[in-house]
Formats: sequence, C-alpha cells, structure tokens
Amino acid sequence: MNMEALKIVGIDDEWPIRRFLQTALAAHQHIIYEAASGAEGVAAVIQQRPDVVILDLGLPDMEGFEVTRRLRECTEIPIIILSVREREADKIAALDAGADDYLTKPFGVGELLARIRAAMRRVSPTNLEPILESDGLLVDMAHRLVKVNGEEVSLTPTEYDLLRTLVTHAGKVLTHHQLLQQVWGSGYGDEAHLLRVNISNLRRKIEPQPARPRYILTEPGVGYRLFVDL
Amino acid sequence: VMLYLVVVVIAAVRYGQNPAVWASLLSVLAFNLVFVPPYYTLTVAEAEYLLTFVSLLGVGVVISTLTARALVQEQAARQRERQTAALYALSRQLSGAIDLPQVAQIIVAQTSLTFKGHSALYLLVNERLELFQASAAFEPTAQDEAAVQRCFEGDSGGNGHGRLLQTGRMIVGVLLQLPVDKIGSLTPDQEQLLDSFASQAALAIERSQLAQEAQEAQLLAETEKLQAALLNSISHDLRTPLASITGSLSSLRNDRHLLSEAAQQELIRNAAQEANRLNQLVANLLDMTRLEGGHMQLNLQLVDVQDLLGVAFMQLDERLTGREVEIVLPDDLPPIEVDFSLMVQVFVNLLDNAHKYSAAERPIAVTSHIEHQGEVRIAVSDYGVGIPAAEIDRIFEKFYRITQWNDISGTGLGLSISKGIVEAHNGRIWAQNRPEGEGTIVTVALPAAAVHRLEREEIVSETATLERHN
Repeated sequence: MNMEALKIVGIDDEWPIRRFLQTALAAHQHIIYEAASGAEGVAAVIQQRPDVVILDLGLPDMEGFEVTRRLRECTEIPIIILSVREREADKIAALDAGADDYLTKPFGVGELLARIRAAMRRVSPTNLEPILESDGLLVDMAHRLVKVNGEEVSLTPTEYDLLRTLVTHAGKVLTHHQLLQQVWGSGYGDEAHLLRVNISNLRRKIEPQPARPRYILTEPGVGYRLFVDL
Repeated sequence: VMLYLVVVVIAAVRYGQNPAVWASLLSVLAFNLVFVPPYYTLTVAEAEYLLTFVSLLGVGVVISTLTARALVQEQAARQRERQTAALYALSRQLSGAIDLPQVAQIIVAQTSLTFKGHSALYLLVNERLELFQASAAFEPTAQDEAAVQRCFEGDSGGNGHGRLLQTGRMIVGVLLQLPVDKIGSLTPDQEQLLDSFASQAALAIERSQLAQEAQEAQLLAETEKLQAALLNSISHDLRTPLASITGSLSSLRNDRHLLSEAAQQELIRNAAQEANRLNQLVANLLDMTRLEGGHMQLNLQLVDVQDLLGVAFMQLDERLTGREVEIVLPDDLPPIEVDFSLMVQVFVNLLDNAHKYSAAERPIAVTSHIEHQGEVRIAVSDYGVGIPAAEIDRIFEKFYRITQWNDISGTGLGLSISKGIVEAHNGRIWAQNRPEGEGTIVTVALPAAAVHRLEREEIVSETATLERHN
C-alpha cells in the first residue's frame, strides 16, 4: 500500500530525533513540521492542519496526555506517540485520551511507517473494506466469516466481536479498556480477565501456533494489536 | 591448765581477739579462785603462782591475738579470693562477647551481682554521655546522673560509686554502681575491685567498638571492590558494541566509494545488530539498578503464560529464526499474577541463553505444568553445552560467566536479573542439567493467582449469558 505525500507535525524536544524524523520521512515524500514543546506543537497543528501528528511523551512543558487532550479538542487527526519502555501508564493515559498508537524508543523507520499507515486507514473510508485478508487470515465482516489458511473457523459471538474490533482497527493498538468497552460495553472497563480469556481462546482457534501468535499481538501492559501486512 | 587453754582458743576463734583476752583473764581469775590456795579468794599465797598466772595470761593473750589475726587473714584471703573470682568471671564472660549490647549486658549484670546493688553503664555517644544499659528495674535519678557527669568530668570527689571507663586511647564512658539501699559505701577492697571492673569494662567496650569499625571498614572495602569490578565490566560491555557501530559508520562515511554494495549492506547490518545488543544491555542495566535500589515496583496483573511467552518470543524473533521451538502448555494452566514486562524479560533472558549455548540445529523447548499447591512451573530447556555441576548455582550471580564459555557474548547479568525479578514475585528459579545427557533446564516456579478458580466459573457463566443475548 503506497501512501501519498503526507503533511506531518513532529513534536519532540530532542533535536536528534527531530532530525531523524525529518530525514527518514522526507525520503518518502512526506513533509515534516517540527515543534520542540507541547505548546509549540499544538500551535503548529492548528496552523498547519497536518495529516498525522507524531508526539513524544517526554516533553518539558506538558504531559503527553495533556497535549493529546488539547489536540483532540480541536482535531480528529491521527496521533502517534513516542515513548520509552516501562512507562506503560503514560502510554495508556495518552491512548485513552485519544492517541491512536505508540512507538517505543528506540524504533526503526519501518515500524514508524507501519504505524502511520495503520493510523491513516481509519481516516480514509474507502479503505475500510468489509474483508480483511492478511497472511493467511481472512475476515469477511459482511458475512461474519473467518477463515485461516482456507479453513473456516467457528467462533463464539464474543470471540467474533473481539476479532472484528481488532480488524476494524487493524494495525493499531487497542488498550484493554478500549477493547472491553467496545466488545462488552461500558461498565466492563475493568474486567481484564474477560478479555484475557477470550483472547486466549481466540488465539487457540485462529493462530497456527497459539504460543507464538502471528495475528493477535500483545502489547505488554497496554493492550492488543492485530498485525497486518500493510 | 589444758582446759584453760582450750577455752581461750575457742573464745579467740569464735569471738575474736578482745573476748579471747577477757576469757583468758577470767580464766586466770577463775583458776586463781578455784585451784590455787587460798581457795576461793583472789589473793595469791605464793609468788610462783603469781608468775604462773601472769604467764598463763600472757600466753592466753598471745594465743588469742594470733588466732584472731589468723582468722582475719583467712577472711581477708577469702575475700580476695571472692574478688578475684568475680573479676575472673567478668573477664571470662567479656572475652566471649564481641557486640556492644552483649558486652554492656555482661558488665552491668556482673557489677550488680558482685557488688550486690544496681549498676548502670553510660557510654560516650557523640561526645555526650548516654545511658546504654542499666540493671533490671533500675532507673537512675537526676542525682545519680549528676554524679555520673561529675565523674566524667574528672571530679573524683562526691559519690564514689562512679568509675570513669578509660583506656589508653580514649574515654569510653562511666560505670555507676549503687548499693540497693542507696546508702552505704564500699570497703577499700571493694573500691579496688570496682576499679578493676572498670578497667576490664573499658577494654571490652573499646574492643567491641574496634571490632565494629573493622567490620565496617572491610565491608566498605569489599563494596568498593565490587563497584570497581562492576564499572569495569559495564564499561567494557557498553564500549564493545559502540566500537562496532562507530567503526561501521565511520567506514561508510569515509570510504563509501571504496566499498561494494554488499560490503556496505554488511556494515549497516552489523551496526544495526550491535545497536540492538546495546539496547538490550541498557535495559538489563536499568533493571539491575532498579533491583539493587529496591525501586522494583511491580505492576501486577493477571497474565496468561501463553501470552507471556508469545511476547518473549516476539522480542527474540530474529535470533530464533530457523530454530525449532517446542512449546507445551496444558490447556488448564491458570494465570499468574505478575508484572508483564518484567516477567517477559525473564523469559527473554532464558530463551536467549538457550539459544546462545546450544547449536542451531538443536531444539529449544518450553514446557509448563501445575505443581502441587497451585504453583505454576515453566521450564526452558536446551540441548546445548550444559553447565558444569560445580557452577550450577553460581550462574545466578551478578556478572558470573562460566569460564569455559568465555567466547560466547554476554554480560553475565541476564540470569541474576531474572532471579531478582522472579524472587520479587515470591517465586523461585533454578537450573539443572538434563539427566539424560547434554543440555540445561532452567525452571521458574511462581505461585498461581488465588483468584483464578473463581474467575473461570464467572467467565463461563458470563460468556454463556452474553451469547444468549446475541
């Protein structure tokens, strides 16, 4: 899938990272506007109206989720956050505040582009086909049909809903909370065991090697993601 | 006459010198009265009787004096013996004690016992005298404390029951001894004994303090040695991948035009790989620092073992390509309550080891089962080089590397971090060699989450309800 040239705002107080974003993304014809603080970032987004925002959580003037909140007040554009290992709470806070996905530093340009592509999928309605086909997994949402390597798989309604939610956000991370809300409804936000058991059952049914999942990936401490070859 | 002498001696022995003298006088008079003519009078008829009487009296006095003196000497000797015994007892007990509370306890107990009263030990702490140990149910009054202070300041007058504890090096404190009724003073012998007690006590206290200082100094030296070794090791392990990266990049920078496409790709691949290694090392070091500093805050959640392993494998993915991995997990394996990222680290370490220390064609296996009492055991096994029996427990030590496998890269931190993480979860980790031959099995044992049984029932019913609604 080839992306057209995008307008991107990159918010990071570290010059080397901004440099890297600029160079790596420019090679794919994207245009990067840089900002070094939360305030600058919000201003840049309002002014430039970019297609995607890349936001680092370690900003000096504002907490990451605060920037996310402010951005969400005035725009629905995809936000991808950059964070470090072990700061799960920060990531979850930003994701729950409206960020779309995250990357853990250090990361490679390939991962970054994959995240951007996944985030953009949500935005362009023409890409939301009822059928997802990736690496042996086929999910036909129009007919509630799921096949793995050609063979049909029988799922319980809950398992199907779970898979469908992941497919709708294919390539993007969904937090435990988001998944519980979307599949079970509000009020089930803390029933982590429900999610855990259903993911486990789902994996047993669709993964060739449940202990080494190819499709349903765990984001430690954060949530789950459906892997797709975008 | 014999009877008379016997009486005098008895009087001397039993009643002391003066009574004995009186006894001899009385006996002589009695003798005079009864046995010497004229009978029943005190007068003496002939001069030789008078001489006899006088000499008898003299002998009587001498005997009584000598006997009395002998008695006194015997008593004195016994007293000295008691004192020596007391001093010996103190000395013997003190020689067996090293730590200060024990020494203080002995000093106070022995002093109270020997001098039949209360005692209190004051030690010099930060240049002030502080009560360190007192005999049972004894609370020194302000007056007592004032006396102690005076003694400390070198004023030897006043209440003579305080003794300055002083060694050649310094003043250690003050020993206070008071009789039970608070009045009465010590005999010169007792004073001397108390002095001896004081010097013994001072020496013992000094010895105890010196032993403590020596121990602290040794600990400090060892800590510094370990820190130096640590720094050296970390420095080396950080610089090595950095050297590779810098080397590769500089080559690409300067000599790009001289390198074939393939060579360039190789350099780039090498730099990327080393960067990964560096990343892993930094993560390890951070974990270790947190473990050591006690900042390991566990973010506990209920986790499926399968999920955990899945993430671990994903993190190792590139390294394990082409390697056969066997995963056997029972269907009813209960969840474990762990910090997800940290436990993933543990298995990444174990799997990485299995990978490093066995040939690429040999498989790696991960199995799990429930042990009695709800303990979940997860074992990672390889068919590799194994661990020499003598070193099998030491591999979990920080920076420990098996000497014969020095050419295999690694920091020696992985297992010690894993152990730290597992133990922080109240779990256990151990290694054993395969009984049938080559290879190692490392097992992690964790307590199963207590809630899971209830959960399973809940979920079954909830899922059923939801499905009916759908």
